[in-house]
Amino acid sequence: MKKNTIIDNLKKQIENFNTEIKVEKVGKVVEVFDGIAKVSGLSDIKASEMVNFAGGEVGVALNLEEDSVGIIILSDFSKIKEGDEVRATGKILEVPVSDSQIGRVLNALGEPIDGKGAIKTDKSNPIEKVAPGVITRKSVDQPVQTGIKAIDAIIPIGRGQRELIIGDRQTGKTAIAIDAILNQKGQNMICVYVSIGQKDSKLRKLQARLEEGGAMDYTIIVSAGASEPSPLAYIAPYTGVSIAEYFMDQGKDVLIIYDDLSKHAVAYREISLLLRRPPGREAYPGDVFYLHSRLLERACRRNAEYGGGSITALPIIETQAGDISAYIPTNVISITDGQIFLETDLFYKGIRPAVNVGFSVSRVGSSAQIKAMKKVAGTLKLDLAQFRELEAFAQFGSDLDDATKRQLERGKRAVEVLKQPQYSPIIVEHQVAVLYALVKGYMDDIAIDKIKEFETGLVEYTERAVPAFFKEVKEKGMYSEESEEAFKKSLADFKLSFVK
Amino acid sequence: MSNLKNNDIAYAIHHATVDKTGKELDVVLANTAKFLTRHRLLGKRLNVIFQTLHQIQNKADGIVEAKVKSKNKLSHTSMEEIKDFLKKHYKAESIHIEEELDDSLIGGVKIQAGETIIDLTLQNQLGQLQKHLLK
Repeated sequence: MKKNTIIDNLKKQIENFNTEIKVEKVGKVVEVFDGIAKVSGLSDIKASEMVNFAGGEVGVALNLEEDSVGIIILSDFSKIKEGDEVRATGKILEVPVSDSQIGRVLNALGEPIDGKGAIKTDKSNPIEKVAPGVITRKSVDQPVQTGIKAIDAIIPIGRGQRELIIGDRQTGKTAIAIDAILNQKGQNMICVYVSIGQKDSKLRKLQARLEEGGAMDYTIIVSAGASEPSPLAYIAPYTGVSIAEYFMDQGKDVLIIYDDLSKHAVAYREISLLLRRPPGREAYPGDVFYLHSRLLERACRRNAEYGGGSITALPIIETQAGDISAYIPTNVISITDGQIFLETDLFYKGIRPAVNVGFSVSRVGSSAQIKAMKKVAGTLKLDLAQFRELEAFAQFGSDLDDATKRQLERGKRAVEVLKQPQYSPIIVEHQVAVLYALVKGYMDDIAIDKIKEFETGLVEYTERAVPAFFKEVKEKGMYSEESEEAFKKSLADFKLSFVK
Repeated sequence: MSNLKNNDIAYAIHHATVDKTGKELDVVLANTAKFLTRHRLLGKRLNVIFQTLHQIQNKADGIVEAKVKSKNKLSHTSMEEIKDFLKKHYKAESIHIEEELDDSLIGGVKIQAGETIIDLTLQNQLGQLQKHLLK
């Protein structure tokens, strides 16, 4: 019975099947080197068209010249030899997309590399797509809570924004990105982490950390490792954003992290030089700006008519000795809607996350903050700026008036409050409570080394004494006058018990 | 002079030699050889230039060269059918066919004319059926 059903089904399937006469264009490999193939023939090939080599290797046509085509090879190129046949496919490079990619680690071609089996899907997205137009967009007005006080309070990030994380090596750039992913639990967000040219050991560690925090339930990792050829590093961010777009098209919010675009630019420089494109500044090709602008423009917030999804991008750039005026950093700074600038000096002073609040900006700004946070953080940036100015000035003498002393003390406490250990994101309502206590002067007479203790104690106490305050901030985004009064009272009570 | 393209050189040789015979052709060929030597084009590029020249000449004369691969030798009628098809498809004056036997094929033929491959093999059809059934 079962056998018959299978045969009947097959028969039905075959009945619907019509063969097509396949007309293909072929070329011949003239030379192969370092992941690049020069191919003669293929006169009708389009830019970025996918080609297949005789051994099943995949390539993309990048350079269309008069009598040859420059192709980047996206798989092992050691078996390709001179004279091999190359077939044009007539398709732009596509990557598979599917809901079941969530929780998986993929390579730059969208294939799983985590050993958890194949991902079955019949959907695919082209990796190169024109960014959504003006008509389909909406202004950024919903926050992405990173769980990092210094960022959520002073440099807020909105859904659909592109915020650059920039800094020297070992300043905690990836840590910020990971904390942001960890904090998305229950925030209705899908995260895509694109790792470009990173060591596999670092990626494994990161994946383990995300798994431990339960973040792999909503995260996809796309990786082009340090040992893989540069063409894969070049396409990895586009693969990541194509997958992100698949979820955005379903009306979902996506957070994508490109770690990092400096290595991406270096990979593209390598390809361009091998293709003999003329080098420009720092030997990067002329279109290195377009390389990143077309990628980051794909981050956007759609309006309700077009599904209402969003892609928030956090590109990462590694600077050399704090030089943000190098070619790639300036390019990406000008493309993004702000930057989080991390400094080595701050890092070694123990201010972690080592965010330089003065150099960091968010051009979308407070429209991407909840009202309560806007209210408490409003004066914080000013306080900090004044503190930095006075701090330099105060080094010359101790003869300061009371107002200046007060401001210095407040500033020191603000710096202390904004310190936060790695992998411990704080939810926004707790942030509001702590910052409220800071800006309203409740911490002014607490010793600096007791600030952290005060902070945790305050959150715990408020959780017990006035849970309605947290509930209100969480649900409405703002506290009412009554709950503010209740919170103030509990704050005073807590302080009294803390000082005792 | 390094920006001389293979295509341009091939076209130039074609234009210089077309409609020329006897002594006139000898002079042109001698000059061509001198030109190629002077520009150091007698190496690997020479083959590419000659291939392109051959294609240009074939195009000018309305000749299409095709390679037909099959498992067994094709009958005269099948061959004529293929020739007729190619003649119509390429609007060519004449078709030069090179036959090749390929043991890896199961059945059907594979026609290659220039850069284009027309795949009429059983293997290709089975491949398509496999894809269709897996969908």
